[in-house]
Amino acid sequence: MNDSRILEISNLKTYYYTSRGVVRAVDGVTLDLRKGESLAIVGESGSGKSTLAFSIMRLLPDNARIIDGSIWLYPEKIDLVRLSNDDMRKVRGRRIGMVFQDPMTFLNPVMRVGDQVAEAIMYHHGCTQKVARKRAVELLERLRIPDASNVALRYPHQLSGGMKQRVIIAIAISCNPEILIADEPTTALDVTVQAEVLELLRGLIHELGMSLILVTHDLGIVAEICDRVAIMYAGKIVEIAETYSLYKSPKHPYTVGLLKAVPRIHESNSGVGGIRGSPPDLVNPPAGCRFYPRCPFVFEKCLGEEPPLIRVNNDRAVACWLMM
Amino acid sequence: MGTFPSLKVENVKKYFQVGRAVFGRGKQYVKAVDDVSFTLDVGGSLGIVGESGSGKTTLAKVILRLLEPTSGKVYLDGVNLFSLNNKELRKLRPKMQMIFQDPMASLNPRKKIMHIIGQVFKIHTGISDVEIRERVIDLLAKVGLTPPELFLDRYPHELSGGQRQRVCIARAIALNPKLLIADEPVSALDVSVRGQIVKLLLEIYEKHINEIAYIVISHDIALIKSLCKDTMVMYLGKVVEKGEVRRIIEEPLHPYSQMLISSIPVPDPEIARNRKRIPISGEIPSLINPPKGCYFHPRCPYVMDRCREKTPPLIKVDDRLVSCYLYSE
Repeated sequence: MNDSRILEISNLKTYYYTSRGVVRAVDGVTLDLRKGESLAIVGESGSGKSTLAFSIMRLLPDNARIIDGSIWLYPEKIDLVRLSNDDMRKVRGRRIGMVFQDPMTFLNPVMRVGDQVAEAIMYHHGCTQKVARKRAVELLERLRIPDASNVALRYPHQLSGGMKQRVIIAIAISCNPEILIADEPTTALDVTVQAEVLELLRGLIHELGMSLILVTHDLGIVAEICDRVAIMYAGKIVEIAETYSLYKSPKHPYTVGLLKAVPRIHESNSGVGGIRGSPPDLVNPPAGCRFYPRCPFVFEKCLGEEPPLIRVNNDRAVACWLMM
Repeated sequence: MGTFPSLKVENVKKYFQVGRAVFGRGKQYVKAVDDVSFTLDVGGSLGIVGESGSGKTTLAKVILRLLEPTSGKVYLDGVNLFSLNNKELRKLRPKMQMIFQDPMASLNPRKKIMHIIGQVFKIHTGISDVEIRERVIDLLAKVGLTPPELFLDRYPHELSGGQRQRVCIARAIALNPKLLIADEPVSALDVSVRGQIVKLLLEIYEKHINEIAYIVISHDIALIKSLCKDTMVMYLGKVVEKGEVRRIIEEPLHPYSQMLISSIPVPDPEIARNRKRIPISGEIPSLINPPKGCYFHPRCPYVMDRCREKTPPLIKVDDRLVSCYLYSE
């Protein structure tokens, strides 16, 4: 089991320093990623899921700090948190690739898309522009972009949303990274385009033997492509389990509520009700379990003491006093 | 009353001109809404589903005359809205209300909740300030903002997303509208909060079923299914299928509806990984230069020769309307 680990996050804390106070966006997250697996990190806005992803890449804004914890990258077991900026730059792109949510903001608007793909290849492989451009076109073809050699010469604004997202994916996988982090990769896309991009992503992961961390709020997408799911709430992981068993029998009350809140097209009256209240303010989160103000099963212990993430069986860990 | 349908939409078109004409030539139009007709009775609920660029929001805005139509007619209780002047239209405004997608953008950030909702009564009724306050309190309680007194003096930024949407709903139903249009009412909200708003909308719908007609606009047919009985699927400004939501989900007839429904992620790994998929090819074409014939033909797996030439009419097939040559002789 331990040999197949490729990334291990332990007790990670990333805080934002704002005028309102310290926002504890990621507050003690422990997680591991296995070789070749697709892991989903699911949460609502403000749950800290994107901050977690950006912490792994060390691409945080100036007012954010990783104040504690480690991110071990295997097999060498290097701690990304303590890596120098120069060394980190070698990890980004080459060993860990990232796909961002909004393709328009992450592509350079005044550079041809083919050159943007080639740039990453040149930087990491030190090859000539000619070779890199050729490889860029091959990559775009691999992402099923029709007429790739022509598309490579276009600028981002000339492409549709789905095409731009494929270019972003091409850049992310251009150096064959071992890990791909995708932050809401299809949220900006229409459903029919989303289905196509997901299908493509699934195929690539499989073919290239990459591990995937998929950050999303959409439990539907997770069911389609992920092996394991970590549910985040208010900066913490509340439940982590294998996909099939999580959907079949969710244990944490938040997971239960979230699954009920998803409308399903083939069932009547699904998605009505939701979870009462709204997510807490992370400057001043509730003491004890952070979910207790919204929890239907709250009891005394939840108010005073924070439940640890406890392994309940082989493939599941839950942070809830009901489980103890 | 009662003799005509509450809302009747006839051949509504909305074209936007793009680019400049050179000596009257080369004028280009985006046909955002292209010949849409339907009727909706009191107590009826219609969902309009489509992807971005399908014209669903433009259609709603034209129906309410928040945008001037290019052509067509819309009757609300027998009155043609497109023939009214501004003054007459303003008198009718209380009868037709809209709930917008982004509650933060549709509430004045510098006014308190009391003012935001109270203003509706001030403009359209002659009741006293004391009475207005009572009415606002009643409304807040009705949309689940309790205790209501606590919310009167708050500003929109002090509320959560779900609470803001409740304020928008309260404002929309304040004057008992005959027509209520909700445009993506929950898409700006978190998943766990969405369900609360869906529940509220359903409660209001059931309470006012004898007075009001509803339209819900969304890209999400699952949401439409929880809120409406019937739905219209739009693609590039045209209606491609119309019928009962439940039936369309069970057995979509138009190839675009089939593709749309099979693309929706199913939150159940067993079903998600074993279901049959409609192969998807290509993306939504540009509205400036739409394909000739059926707009869907470049992406359609069943495309035939005549699809490339002429737009298929919307015809009755069993229990619904479909615009596809697969179903005509």
